[in-house]
Amino acid sequence: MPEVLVSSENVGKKFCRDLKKSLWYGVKDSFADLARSNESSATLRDGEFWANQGIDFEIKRGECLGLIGRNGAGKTTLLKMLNGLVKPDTGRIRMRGRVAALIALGAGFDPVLTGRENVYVNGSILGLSRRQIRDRFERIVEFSEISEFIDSPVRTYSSGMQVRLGFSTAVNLVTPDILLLDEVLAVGDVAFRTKCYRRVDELRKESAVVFVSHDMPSVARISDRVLFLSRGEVQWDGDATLGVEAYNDANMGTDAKVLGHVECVYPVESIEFVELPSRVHFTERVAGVIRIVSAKHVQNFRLTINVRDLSDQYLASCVLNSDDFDSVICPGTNELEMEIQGIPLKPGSYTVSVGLTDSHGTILALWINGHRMEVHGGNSRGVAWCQLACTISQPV
Amino acid sequence: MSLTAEIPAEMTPDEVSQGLPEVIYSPESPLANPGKLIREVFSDLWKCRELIWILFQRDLKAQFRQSYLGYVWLLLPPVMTTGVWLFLNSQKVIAISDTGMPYPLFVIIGSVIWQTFAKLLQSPLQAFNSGKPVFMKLKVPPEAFVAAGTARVVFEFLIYTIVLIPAFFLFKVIPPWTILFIPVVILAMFALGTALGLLLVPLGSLYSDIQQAIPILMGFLMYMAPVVYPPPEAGLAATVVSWNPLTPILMGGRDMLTTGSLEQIGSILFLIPVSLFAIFVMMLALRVVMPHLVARMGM
Repeated sequence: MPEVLVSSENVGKKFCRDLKKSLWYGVKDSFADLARSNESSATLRDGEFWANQGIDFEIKRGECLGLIGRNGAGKTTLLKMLNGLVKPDTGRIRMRGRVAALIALGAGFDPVLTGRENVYVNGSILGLSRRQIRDRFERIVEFSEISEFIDSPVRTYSSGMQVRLGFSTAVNLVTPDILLLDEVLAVGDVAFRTKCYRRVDELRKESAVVFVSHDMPSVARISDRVLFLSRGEVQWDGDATLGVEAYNDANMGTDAKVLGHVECVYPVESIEFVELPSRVHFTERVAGVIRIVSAKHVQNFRLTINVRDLSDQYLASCVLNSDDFDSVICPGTNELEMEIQGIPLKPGSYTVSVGLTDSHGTILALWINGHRMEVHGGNSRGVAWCQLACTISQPV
Repeated sequence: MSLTAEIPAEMTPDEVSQGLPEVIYSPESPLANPGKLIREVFSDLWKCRELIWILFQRDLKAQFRQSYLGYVWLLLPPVMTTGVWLFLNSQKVIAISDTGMPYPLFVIIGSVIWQTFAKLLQSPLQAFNSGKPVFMKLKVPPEAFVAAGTARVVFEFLIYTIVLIPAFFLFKVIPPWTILFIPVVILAMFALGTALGLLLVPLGSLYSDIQQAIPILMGFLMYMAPVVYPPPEAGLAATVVSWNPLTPILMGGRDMLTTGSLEQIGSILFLIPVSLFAIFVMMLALRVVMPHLVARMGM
């Protein structure tokens, strides 16, 4: 039975929106602590709000807790309390073992000094002795892949190189029992990022991890459990995939509405894709109606249904030829029923577009990002499962 | 390469975790258990002795690497001060004679002590503020940054005193045996300056007023201490100067180097334990208020 390394009981922290008041409360709190006054810190003063409230969780060795929520939901505040930088106003945090925070990469770096010197400064700030740093130095440089420049001033480095050096120093120096990760993984180029993930995977196997990120696929991949914070309170505590879904659902109403637009060319007057579900399981059959209004006959047309994610990345498409389905567009309103047996996409939000072209490939009508659809389900790592015919054969 | 490499093979992870250090964070004041707090502060200070040295080196290197003259810039101010006074003396411009020693020497010793003291006073807050970006993100003993700043002042003081030596030859003053007490004066100066400097850190980190006010007040304070003139005999100025804790250090230091009088040694010996105690108290206080300061630094 792995032991509990991090535990948080009813933890709360308040902050003040007004700067002057906040500073004054800082003075008062400082004096209260110095005087050991037992005045309760559990009530809000003028201008204060709960940045964290009633937060309960435990993390065992080998377990990873994903911390998600919108900007300002209180993730960083919680991380700072876990790291002991600020203290809770209510509740109790218990941390067992050596804590490492991959939060500020390259802390204490001075641009004029060389990479080598900065590794020593940074390592020393992370709590290592010079001998320990010297022993690991080769590994750090090798990992960062900037050995050529290690004796040049850090300000001649590109920002990517600086971050690489900071990351290499941090992950190669520490061997923590508790690891606090705050979105630092999104650094460097693709090759380096992959390497970072691999190294963090190594580290997290043996430690209790708190992982803060906005990148839901990573959260779903790395975390065993998620804590979804909203306005400082826990909205969801449990299974990672379901938690990510809960987070996406909560964002449905709030994030920018994807407004579709329609473009038509004579003879087509309008096009829309209706009766589509807005939430589907990835194995579910999906049906909808494509409604086209035309001024005259269109024969030999082609319909293209495109699926994009919210960052407008093209993901999948489906092309339908009128010849294959024996259909024509007549003058007036036409309704075409579309049906697909499943949506083999990983959980997330997608938009659907439709394009109509004639036999020469000329665009007659476009209905762009006109529908938003949530796909849910899939396994706990956020990968969709799809039953399609796949065979192997052995030539004799 | 793997994490387990640090753990001896014969121990199971559970056995290892038996010995894991445990920390509790709660709203309770750390002063509820002062013994633990004191142990923590001192063990941290011992643990970060290398960090202090590395930070000290970093700041020194960073300041001078981008210049041709480099460390010469550290030597220049005291050389200039001494030079100016030598010149003024040779031109007979100044005539304050009842100092019991050549007046330029009086001023030079006075200003070395004063400038060092002024730097000591400002250094903790400056060092603390420059460490803020780190304090906001990582758990580091803030004492390390403060101590590195003080180490810098020690270093500059040593350079100043090297420049002081030729001045004695030029004025043909041979220090009497009382020079043996000089380390006591230096200790008192460092203890007093650091104690007062630490006192400014908590409020100074919250409000920028403190940092704004220091240079202005220092100009005023310099004339409330016998830096460039001997203490007045009577009047309000005399009272203020006599109550100024820096007066015995200035007067005593000068006497021990020139006239051999030990008149101030009593006050100096009194200042040392008081200042050291104040430093101790302020170090604990800084630990207690640190989370509140970090909370107000921003995200």
